[in-house]
Amino acid sequence: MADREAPLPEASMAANGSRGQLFARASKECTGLIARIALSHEADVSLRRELIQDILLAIWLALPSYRGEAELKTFVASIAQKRCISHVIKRAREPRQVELSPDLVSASPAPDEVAVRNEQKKRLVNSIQLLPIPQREAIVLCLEGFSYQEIGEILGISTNAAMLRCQRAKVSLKASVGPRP
Amino acid sequence: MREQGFEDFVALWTEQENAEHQAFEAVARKARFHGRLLAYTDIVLVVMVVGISVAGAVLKPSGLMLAISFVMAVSSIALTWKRRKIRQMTRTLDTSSREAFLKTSLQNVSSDLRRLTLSLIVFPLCLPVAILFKVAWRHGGHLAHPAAELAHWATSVRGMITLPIFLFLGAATVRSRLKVKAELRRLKALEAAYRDEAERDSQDSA
Repeated sequence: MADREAPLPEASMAANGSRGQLFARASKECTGLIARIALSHEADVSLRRELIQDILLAIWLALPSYRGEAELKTFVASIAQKRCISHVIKRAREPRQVELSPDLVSASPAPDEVAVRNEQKKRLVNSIQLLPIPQREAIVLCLEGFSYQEIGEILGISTNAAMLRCQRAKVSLKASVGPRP
Repeated sequence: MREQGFEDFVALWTEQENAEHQAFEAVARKARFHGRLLAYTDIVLVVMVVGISVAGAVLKPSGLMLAISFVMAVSSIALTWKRRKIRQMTRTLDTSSREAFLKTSLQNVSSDLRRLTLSLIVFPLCLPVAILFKVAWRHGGHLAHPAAELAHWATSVRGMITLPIFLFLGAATVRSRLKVKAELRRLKALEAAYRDEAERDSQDSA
């Protein structure tokens, strides 16, 4: 998980570098965040790649409006979530459960451990994809390490509502994946 | 915020990062190129319109030409700026809140659906009327047997070429309508999901 960045000192894009520099920073530091937000909404690998490109294009277009008031990670997460919602509405097919990509194999030494871990990852991803969108948005941000206040700001809901949605999602995840994955 | 058990989920979830990392750089480069291309297209368009306006004013200098050139140059710059803003807003969905975004999306999709439904109703009615008008025009405003004239047109070479094209257009419109209808259904379901979740938030807080 990417570490929490320090808030940007100046309140303008120019003060934080050019659009290209900011974009490079966003795409470098938020690789996992963007990929995982896309993963929570799109199971198909090729469609997910298109979605990631769409999110990155949206970030590029939105960067001039970034004033540095929020962390870059929060700004990126907000845009990624909205693009994902738009993608879910527009996609022609309903989401389907797909086999995990071989890329997901971890560096664990024992093959049986790898298999168990992959199975756990698969169950977790599938369970997240099956959550209702309002809960899915909240729990993904929570898994990414955002505070309830930040989740509330990103989703346009109160801190209390963000906390309640995360709690409901956690209960669903624990029920479908298990308390100790 | 974090309880034991949930940390395991966090660890599992964040392990997914490597899966996408390799392809990510290439995708980021493509997105940056696409973004720059969009901006350059806008600039080229403005330069072309302003250039033509200035050239017109220089080659044929008159008060009227100057006024027209000025209006063209200013309006093209203003329109490009506006287009850029709208594109930025739709791409980033930079709306004030989730509610506003859903409301605007619902309005847009509903208007699309109405437009397509109207096309499907009007299109089959207008086609025979237009054909009859054309045949009547050719016969000096008289039509003895409209149905026979339509059948005659349909079996002519022109009719046999034109009808499949219109049928194809009709089928494409039906397909678009089905897609928009599905989009509207998903939007309404999403709106209901947000409403239900907000109600549960209120109940759980109480």
